Amino acid sequence: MSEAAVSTELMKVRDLHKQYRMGSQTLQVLAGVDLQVEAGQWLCILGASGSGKSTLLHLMGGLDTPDQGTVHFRQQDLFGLSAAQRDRFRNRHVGFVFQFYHLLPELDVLENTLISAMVDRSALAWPGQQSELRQRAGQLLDDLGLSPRLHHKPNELSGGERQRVAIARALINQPDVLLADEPTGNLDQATGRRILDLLSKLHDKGQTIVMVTHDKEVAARADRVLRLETGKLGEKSGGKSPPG
Amino acid sequence: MTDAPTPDTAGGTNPLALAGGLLVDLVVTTLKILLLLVGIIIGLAVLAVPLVVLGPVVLLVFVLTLPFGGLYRHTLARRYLKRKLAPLFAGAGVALCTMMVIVVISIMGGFLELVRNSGHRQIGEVSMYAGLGGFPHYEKLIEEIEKLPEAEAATALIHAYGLLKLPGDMIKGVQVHGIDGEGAARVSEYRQTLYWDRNRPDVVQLRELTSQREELRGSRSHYSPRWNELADEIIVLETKTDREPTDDAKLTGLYAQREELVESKSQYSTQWNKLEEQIGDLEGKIGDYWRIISTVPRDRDPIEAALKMAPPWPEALEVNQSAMVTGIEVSPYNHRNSDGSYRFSPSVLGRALTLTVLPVSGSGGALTPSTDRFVVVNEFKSGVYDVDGQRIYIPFAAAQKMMLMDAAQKVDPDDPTKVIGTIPARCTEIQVAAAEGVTSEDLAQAVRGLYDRFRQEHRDLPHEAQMRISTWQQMRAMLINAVEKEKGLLTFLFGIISVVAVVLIGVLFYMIVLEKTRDIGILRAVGASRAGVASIFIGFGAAIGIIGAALGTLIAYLIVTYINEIHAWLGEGLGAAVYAAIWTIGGIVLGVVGVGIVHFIARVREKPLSLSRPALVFSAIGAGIAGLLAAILILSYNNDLHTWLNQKIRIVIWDRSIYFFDQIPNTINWFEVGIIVTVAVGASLVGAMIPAFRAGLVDPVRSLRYE
Repeated sequence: MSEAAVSTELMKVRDLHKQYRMGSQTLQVLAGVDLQVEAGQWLCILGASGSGKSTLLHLMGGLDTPDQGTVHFRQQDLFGLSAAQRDRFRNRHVGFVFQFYHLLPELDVLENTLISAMVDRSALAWPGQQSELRQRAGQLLDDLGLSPRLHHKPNELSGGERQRVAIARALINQPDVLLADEPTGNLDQATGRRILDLLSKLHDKGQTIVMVTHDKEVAARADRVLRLETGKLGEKSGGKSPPG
Repeated sequence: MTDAPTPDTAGGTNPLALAGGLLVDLVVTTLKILLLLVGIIIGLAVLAVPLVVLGPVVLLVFVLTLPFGGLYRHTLARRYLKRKLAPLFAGAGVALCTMMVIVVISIMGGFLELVRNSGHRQIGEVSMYAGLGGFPHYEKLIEEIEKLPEAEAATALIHAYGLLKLPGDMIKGVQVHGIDGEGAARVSEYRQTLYWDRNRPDVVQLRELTSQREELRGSRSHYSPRWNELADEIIVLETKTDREPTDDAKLTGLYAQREELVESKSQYSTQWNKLEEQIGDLEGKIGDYWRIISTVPRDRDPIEAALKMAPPWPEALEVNQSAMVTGIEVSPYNHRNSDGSYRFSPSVLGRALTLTVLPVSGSGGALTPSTDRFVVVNEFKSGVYDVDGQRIYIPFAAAQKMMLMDAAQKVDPDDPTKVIGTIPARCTEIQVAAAEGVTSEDLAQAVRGLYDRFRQEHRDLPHEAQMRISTWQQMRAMLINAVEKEKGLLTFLFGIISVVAVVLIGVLFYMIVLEKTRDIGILRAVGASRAGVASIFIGFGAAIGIIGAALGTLIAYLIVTYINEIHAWLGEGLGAAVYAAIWTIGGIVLGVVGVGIVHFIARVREKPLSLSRPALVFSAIGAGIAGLLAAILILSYNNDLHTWLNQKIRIVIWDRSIYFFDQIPNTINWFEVGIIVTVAVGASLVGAMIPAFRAGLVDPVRSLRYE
């Protein structure tokens, strides 16, 4: 709020450290990561497998806690929040998309999409908002080409379809930022490309996206690409703007 | 000891070493399991009370928070319930344990109640007894006792042992009680236990129905003459060659009358059939009782006779026969049906039987046996087998005389013609009923005080220490305590079995949580809280606990309510059921095999059919029903097979000649059921809590890492 320039700044990561203990060894995954995400930006973090890019994404979504450093979302320190507030933040402002789709096998496509909406709506509140939410979910799924599949279970869907359901689930609460962890990693090239086209379309509509991948071609679709190596981020050539 | 496994340091290839290692593993594993068991038992023992309290509290909190918090919890808990096996097993486990404990507590509790009641029913509240030798001045004593504010009534008894000669020269040892029928009715439930009653509601009803039928039979007799008359008149008129209009009018009138007659006749037969049906039903129900009681003349009321202890018909008195009331199981000719009613072949009611008793002298020696004949005026059924099978009642005065306990002249031992005094009449027991609101303990205390005072005036009464004044509970204490202990023990044992259910549910839920770790991670990623995720499993546990406990209660209710029917069926219908089950299973197997053969043939002909599940299920069910129908048909046409099967295959647990009671108790104490259900639901919740806690602790990052 202090400067006009930060009005476009959505997230700010400062000096993020995270290490894992694997038996007797400690693994320094993140060793001082600094990062800024502008609203409406498509940011891609490129890194080899095991470089800690998923960890970074989880930290940015408040799913994990860092050893050191801060993540700010609109000037709000995520790790200064209570666990309940952080859960709520994740529900309202973040949409996760995973490499392995991670749909709930017992629920059908529509229910999987609506589950995020069910998290912060109680049994009392639901009936009042149900029709609106169902309509929104139907619209989303229609946009993603899934309308004939509304009542199929995940195991009846192809990989591309599952990932599209996962995207619909991530978008149902109209999040400020979409955090995508190798969204094409488990798909064949053609299907992956269609998913990326989808993300592009969303991005064109103004959706902020942070995506991590190990695939340079995939990364090429982003506005800005950062490379994660030995726990630190570096600018990759071809990026649109310099780091803040 | 060559085969004993020895530790071998040379390496793992030695089979002995291998066996040794295996043995060590086995022992270690056994020890681990033992340790775990001890841990569980100690844990449950320590936590038993908190768990039982905690369960309902958790449930309450859970139910109250149901409308709040994310809807996803309901959705997922419901979905997890719809899964196939795990919830079914857990629910069935809860249901079975609830059912077992309720059945055991109900039946043992009912049994205890029966023991208590029967003791009470037989004895009244307090009994005074001083051995078979008896004690004098009882009339005065009874008078005094009845003056006590604590006492309602008192009556004297004479105990003796005797031999009863039954028809067919059958001799049976019996316990003889000389009683004053009306006095006994005031003190104990003597009146209520009398078996033959002309005014029993179903007997009265049947009597009314039969007299209605007689009336109806009488009214039928006028139908046929009237019918013939009418027919004659009609024929005459119809065949008349020159009919006049008046004749036609008359004929129409006659037709109408005939119509009416037909109508009323059909009404009559409907009424008749209905009556016949009602009579048939009722006769089927009370059966032999009706056959015997309806032969008793109207002026000979068995109940009245049993109260007066005198035969109701004068000819018996003329031959100086007194009355006798025998236990229903005393006569070997009374056969008990499985429904508790009796067949009489023949009945001893109204017969004169010979009884021999052995009087006892003051010094304890046996005197000359005395014999007399008594008319059986009624029988009694207390429901306690050992009483019903051994006890007979005869008039107090007759017993006193036979036992030489009536008042007599005391003679000089040296000169038997010289009277030196009188010996007062004696009885062996006084039974006392308590006044309204007085406990048997208080009454006993009052009677003891009275006896102490009374003995001051009558020094020839037995010493206080010899006179046993006890309450009915004390007299039945051995049995009551034994049954109480048995109930406690059984409840405890089944309680332990129920602990298995808690562990089972815990393990099943834990497995579900493990399997659902990734789902938990997903939910956390979309913003669900730890508590929210845990509450899915609490809700799941609550649902299983409530459904299981409700189902268990329902089954237990049915089992307990119909326990006698079930038992009768196990004893009399199991064979046929097993036979029918075998046919049904055979049918199902044939159905499945049939489908298999069809598919095999299709495959051989290289036109394979797709094996659809509905087809398989339908043919299995169809063939199963066909098998069942075949079994029913065979059994209904082949009575010999039916009987043979049921005689060969049967289970009789409650043998009525072993157990005291002729019916298995079948009452449910809903208070106890309430506690059991609460504990069952609480236990399922506790079983679910640990896995739920585990679910809350799942690290979403870790669970989402891989597919």
